[in-house]
Amino acid sequence: MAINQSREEREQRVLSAFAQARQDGLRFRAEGLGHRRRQDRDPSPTLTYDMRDWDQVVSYQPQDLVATVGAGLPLSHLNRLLSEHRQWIPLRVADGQDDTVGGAVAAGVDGILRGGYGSFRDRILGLQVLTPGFGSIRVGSQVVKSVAGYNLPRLFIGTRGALGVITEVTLKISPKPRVSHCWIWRGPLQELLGHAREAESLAAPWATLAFIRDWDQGLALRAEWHGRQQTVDYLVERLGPGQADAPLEELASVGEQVVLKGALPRRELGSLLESWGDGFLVAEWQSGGFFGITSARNQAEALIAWIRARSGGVEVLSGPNVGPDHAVPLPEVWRRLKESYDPDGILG
Amino acid sequence: MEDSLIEALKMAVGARYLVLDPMALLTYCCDGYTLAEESPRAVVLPATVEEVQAVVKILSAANIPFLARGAGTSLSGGATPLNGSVIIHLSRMNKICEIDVENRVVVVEPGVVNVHITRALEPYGYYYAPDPSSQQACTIGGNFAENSGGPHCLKYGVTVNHILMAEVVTGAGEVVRIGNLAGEPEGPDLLGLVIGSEGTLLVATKLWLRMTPKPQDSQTVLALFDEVGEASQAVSDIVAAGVIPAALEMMDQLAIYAVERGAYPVGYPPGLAAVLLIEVDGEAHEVPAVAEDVHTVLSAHQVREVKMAATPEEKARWWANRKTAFGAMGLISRQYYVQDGVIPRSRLPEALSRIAEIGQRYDIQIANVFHAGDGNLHPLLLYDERDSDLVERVIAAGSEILEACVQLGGSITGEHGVGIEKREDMRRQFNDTELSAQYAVKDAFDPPGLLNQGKLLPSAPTCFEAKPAPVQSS
Repeated sequence: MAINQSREEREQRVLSAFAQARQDGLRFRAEGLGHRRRQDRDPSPTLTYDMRDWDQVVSYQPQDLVATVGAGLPLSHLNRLLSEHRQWIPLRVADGQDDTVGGAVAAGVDGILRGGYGSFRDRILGLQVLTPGFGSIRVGSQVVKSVAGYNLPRLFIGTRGALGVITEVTLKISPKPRVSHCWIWRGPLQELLGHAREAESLAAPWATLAFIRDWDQGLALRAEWHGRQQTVDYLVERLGPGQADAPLEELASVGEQVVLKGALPRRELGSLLESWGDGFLVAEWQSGGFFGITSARNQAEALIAWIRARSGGVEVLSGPNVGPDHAVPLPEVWRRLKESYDPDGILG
Repeated sequence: MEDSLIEALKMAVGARYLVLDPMALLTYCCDGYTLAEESPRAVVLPATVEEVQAVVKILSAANIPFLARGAGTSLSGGATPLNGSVIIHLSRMNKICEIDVENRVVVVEPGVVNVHITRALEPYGYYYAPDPSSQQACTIGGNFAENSGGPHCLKYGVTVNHILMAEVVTGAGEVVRIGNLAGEPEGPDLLGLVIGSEGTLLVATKLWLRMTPKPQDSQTVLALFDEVGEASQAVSDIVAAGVIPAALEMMDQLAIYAVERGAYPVGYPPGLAAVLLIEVDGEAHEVPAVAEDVHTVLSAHQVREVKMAATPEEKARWWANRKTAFGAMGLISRQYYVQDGVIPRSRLPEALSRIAEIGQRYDIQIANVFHAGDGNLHPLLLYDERDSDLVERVIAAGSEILEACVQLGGSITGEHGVGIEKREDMRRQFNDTELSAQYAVKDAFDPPGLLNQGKLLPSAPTCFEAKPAPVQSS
């Protein structure tokens, strides 16, 4: 069982799998819990490697607000450990799915608390990565601030293992808030936008100001404050009683779903909520981040084009990889990086 | 430089904006890091992206190295020209192009001074968060190149967290936009990669920055300690108590001695070993409670006094005293050499003790002024350049301090960059394979290697090959 193996032994297993894939003419894909699997347009025979036993906590010093963990550790497990010290990773993905830490990094996942806590990618301080070109490399650092060399972790966040397999992640941790309180309003978009603006005028930043468009096209605004009781008392006085907590809506399966994630300039969020069509959408007002599901491929394609035309960023997080390809800026740069990090092109 | 090249550059930017006079070029021989100096081949001052593009194409075709420069406040030699480089000085590209309040985006040219952005945003209730101590002079283009931080990056993050999109000119003279207005990368985050690349990958010509809402309120707490160890422990305990201050700064005895002789004396009592300056900010009802928590944590230590700023003027004076600490060193020493290592916050007591031991061993006076909250140390090694033996000892001691930072699990630089100064120190933090992976980035962006030569990476990697062979399993 891998639990007793050293990191070097585990790394050797992955490197052997690289060699096997190369020899057999296969693509290599590392996999965690599998919630963010994207169906390639041109599927190649693939060697899938299960990373779930890379689940160790390598180091955690609560006073530093930094933890280094194996890529296969589920975020829920990590948060259980951190909660013993009243700390957490404030990543709450709108579909409520758990992710491995490495999977969340590789897929570029973000959540509805992005407005209040910053983006998940900004928490990633360092990575241990296995690359076909260079072997095992540490990129970034294990402290909250470092500008030593190029910011290489950015090459591995959201690139789905195209340059290397993430085996360890060093993350910035947050203290848990003393109190949290939630307000939910339902109604037409313009009314909800008024609530969002009022909330922002009273206090900032909110943990989230999330517009939720449910499967029946009903609209709600979820405002969550994380902080001190004094502020909650003030907000209750101004906004009404609210509630201590409220679960996010359960997401039902609707067959072959296209899950999109990304962000839009704030000005465009209202239009996004109006034009989403069938499906489910959460759009965070402060950050412009969104997470949406649709079961119609042509609708997903149209949405992707619409978002890009408004200088937003969007990607298929899971499901069929539809939509026009994003034109990567500096394609020659990317090609040369790919040649260096993955000379035989075995990674996806 | 060849006459034809001179004529081409004059055509590109106008004769007035090409500097060739050796006396005028002396101004550009170094930046804030003065231990290395070299004259540039020429300086060009373009005013538009088209002019930058034309200059880059001319230099690239002639295989002449070049670098962009802003205000030259870098403390690691990032803006010092090497190997006969031409400097592209971006000071004429200094416009704030657009303030888009609805999208919370401000669009600026690279030559805009950092603090001018915040001043421009003030009427709208916003500011630009990264605030390097040099913010009165440093430009946003330089901040982009260095991924600059500042006292308030503890809570608000560094430059890379505040740039959404960039217009850049590549080494081949291509103009490209990286990123989008939403700050959401699709696929590889090339923008995040090039921020902090010290001008070695491309030249930024326009930047889209995040506007941060001004906090409703803030409070500054000052704590006076008789022991450095107690102050260091208090830093960790504040964070462990669940408080993320906007800033958490520390000065030791020698630094206090200097700042009290500077332009903004606070009137610290004699004999203090350390001062902590803590700023908390946020929603108006929350700030007094958080400040009270900080006061409680500090008071649980052996502390001589804990004070809350009673007036905005008092608060401003405390911060002016701290922010001018580097300059105040000039009042007690002819020169100083500042280091920039980072250590895990919990190792602060050990790090300070090792710095003191290194200072004693090399017989050097070291003042410490630093961002304690994120473990970013700024030991200031005092010296006199006329004493060559002392200069050598200072350089050796500085390098040993960086080694100590790495041994404690930290980094050789938190915000000043590698530049010329710490190129060889990169080997302390990264092994040969890891450095090769970094060289691959340089090679991917700038195959001829013309952009800001001799910076950021060690001079001669021991095992790098441009096209590495696949790693074999054993």
